[in-house]
Amino acid sequence: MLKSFIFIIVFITHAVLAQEPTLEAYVNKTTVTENEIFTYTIASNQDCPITPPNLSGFEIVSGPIQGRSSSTVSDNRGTVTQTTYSFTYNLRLSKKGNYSIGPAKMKCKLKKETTSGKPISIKVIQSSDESQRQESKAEHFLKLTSDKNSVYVGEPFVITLKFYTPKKPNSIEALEPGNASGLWRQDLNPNRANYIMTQEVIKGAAYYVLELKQEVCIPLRAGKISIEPYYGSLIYQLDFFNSERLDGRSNGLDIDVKKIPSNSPANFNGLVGRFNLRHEIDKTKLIEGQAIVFKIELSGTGNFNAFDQPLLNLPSEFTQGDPTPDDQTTIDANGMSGTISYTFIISAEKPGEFEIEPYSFSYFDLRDKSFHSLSTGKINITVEKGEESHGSVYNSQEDFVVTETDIHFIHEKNGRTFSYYNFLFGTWPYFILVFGPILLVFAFAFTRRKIANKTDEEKIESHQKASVKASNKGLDKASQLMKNGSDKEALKLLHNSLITYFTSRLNISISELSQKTIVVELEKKRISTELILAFKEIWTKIEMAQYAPISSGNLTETIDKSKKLIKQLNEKL
Amino acid sequence: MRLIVYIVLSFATTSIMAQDAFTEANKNYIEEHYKTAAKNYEKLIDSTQMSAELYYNLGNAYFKSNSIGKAIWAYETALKINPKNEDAKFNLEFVNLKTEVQIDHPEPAITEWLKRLLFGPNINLWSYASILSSFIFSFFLLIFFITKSKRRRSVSIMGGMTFFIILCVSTTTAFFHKETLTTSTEGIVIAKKVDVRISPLKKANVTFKLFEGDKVKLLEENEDWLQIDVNGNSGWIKKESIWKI
Repeated sequence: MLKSFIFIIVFITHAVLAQEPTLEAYVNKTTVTENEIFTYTIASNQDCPITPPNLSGFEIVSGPIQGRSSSTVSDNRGTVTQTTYSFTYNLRLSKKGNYSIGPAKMKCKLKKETTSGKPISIKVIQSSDESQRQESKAEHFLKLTSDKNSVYVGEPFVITLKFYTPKKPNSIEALEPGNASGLWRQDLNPNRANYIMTQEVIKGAAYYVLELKQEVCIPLRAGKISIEPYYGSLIYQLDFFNSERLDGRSNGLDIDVKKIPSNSPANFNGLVGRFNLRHEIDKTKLIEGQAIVFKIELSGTGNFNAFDQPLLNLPSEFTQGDPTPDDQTTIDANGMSGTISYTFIISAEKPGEFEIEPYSFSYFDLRDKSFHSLSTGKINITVEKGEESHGSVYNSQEDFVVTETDIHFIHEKNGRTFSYYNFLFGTWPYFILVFGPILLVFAFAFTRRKIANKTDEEKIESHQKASVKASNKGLDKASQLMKNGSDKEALKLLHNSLITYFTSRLNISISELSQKTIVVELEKKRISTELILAFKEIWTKIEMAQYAPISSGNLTETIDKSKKLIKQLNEKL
Repeated sequence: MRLIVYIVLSFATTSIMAQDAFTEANKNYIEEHYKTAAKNYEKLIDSTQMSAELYYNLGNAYFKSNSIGKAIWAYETALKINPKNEDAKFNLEFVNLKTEVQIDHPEPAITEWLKRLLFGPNINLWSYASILSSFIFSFFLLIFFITKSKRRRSVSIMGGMTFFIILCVSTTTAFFHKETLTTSTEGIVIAKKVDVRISPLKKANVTFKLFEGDKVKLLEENEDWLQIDVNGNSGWIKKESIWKI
């Protein structure tokens, strides 16, 4: 039945004509136990008729299951879309032994027949021999490869590190390059965030292949250069909580680095590749003190890292500052390419006819395996005498700017010094000085408004409070005067204090004020007879004292009684 | 009174001593003893007597001692203190050309213009301005509350509003000036070459490399590591490789 199973082409697309057909066949396990189901897949990049191998010795549990998948891979080399057509069988073997699946075949129109390579060996073991399978299980491994095994000193080559794994990893945990001496290395994609994953079949088993690193290397010396194994570890998410780490070291690499032929010219200093030399000079005729801008530009492909700053052989009458380098080189799989330039500012100090010696160097061309020399050629410069009054002559602002070939000189005087403790902002004095005046003005306005908005009753009340305060103060002062022996003043003050108190507290005018009116008012306010009598006694004593002298002890007692009376009246009124 | 005299005298003495030390360091520089000059300038900074000129001269001494990263750090600090220091600006541009890689740090032109316009060597200028404007604003407020004349009221409203705006602007500027000088948001790589790692661990992957003099933004820090950002690329770097600006 299987022999007669032939796939028919529906139509041939332009892709068929454009792409070379490829055919791969692989299994998910190369060692299985008796009656264990395993998959066998035939995959192609073309939708062409496929002839599967003879599977007569196998039990086909299900299949072929036809599949089609497309994948788009984007990286710095561009975007590639690939379509894969696959046919998967679920197979089973019931007896222990070694089996083989022959190659599948495919025939596309106008193309030669394609086969899937070598036959795949399947080993069937008994269930009790599970440990054998563990040993022969397709393990993960790291592989370090180089595009060249033999190079010249300075010739770039690319090494690639790939991680082969039977399971699809979730993330990369660590990556450590191996040591290598005598080698200049540069990662081609140092900020790599997305890793390219492809599938490869090795000895009939399918692997996920992750390209972890690609470096361009330039050997700096001849002889055998050893690149030590690289280390990498990947993380697999088993389920939500558990993950597994697979790590390992790659193989090392030995690169045979050949010497540059010994007949190298004197001006050869290790440049290998293909280069061009260009130079620019802004003027060849100038006035003494003026500056020339001289630029040397090296372009091409090769080990630019071996290109040193050019040394100019200038006449002694010329001075030269440090050149300004401009590196516009990029690194890719072919090595370094682009341009690198050095701009010199040269000034002539004396007039005359001068010659700038040619700047030259040699490089080794890998294509014809020979040395080539490049030179700027001689440059004649005419320097004319400038005005005598000026040591240096600057014709324009541009000339002035370009002559600055060093940093500006130090400042001889120190400026305003400070420390971080000198900040006024954020300190309490600062906040008081900023917000204090504003708050004071608002407080003033608030008080003013409050006073203006008082009712008559509030006004009387505050007046009374002030009077009580004044009379209490007067009585205290009277006591003080008594102690100083000023009896007369003390008596006068006592009298006045009581008048102030009763006029304001009982709201009696001074003209109407008398013992009688006070008593009437006190009675109206239902003051106890005891207090009224105390008042009468005090008042009478004061009135009497105005006509007949009163003893000091008596006056002191009257003052104390008055204080007591006012205190008690305050509580009642 | 005695206390005030004591404070004034001690301040004057410190200033004179600082000026002497500054002159001494300048002398070392002129005599081409650049490393000694740098040490003497550093001592002045340690004694908290800082100034834009001091950092500028220190930058020159570092540059002449072939410490490009430290020189860039010193010029950047000088410009942070006084963005109008043209010599520091020139020397910074000059020294930046000597670095391994020139990384662009685009800063909005308006920010740079505002810094040059508002920030100067007097660290309390805007604090004084806000105190003065607060007093004048309070005066206009008082006039507004006590006067009954319509004309005086309108004058006090106009004057009050003007000085209230000046008060707000000066207080905000004083705040930002202090923030700018006391907080470090950027740093300069002073090591020759530094690996920037994906996490603050010695064995973590190297994402990219930085070279001496590169300017980076500071994001986070722990005991030994700093998280940095260079034009959107972030990573962790050992603390000792960077000097904060």
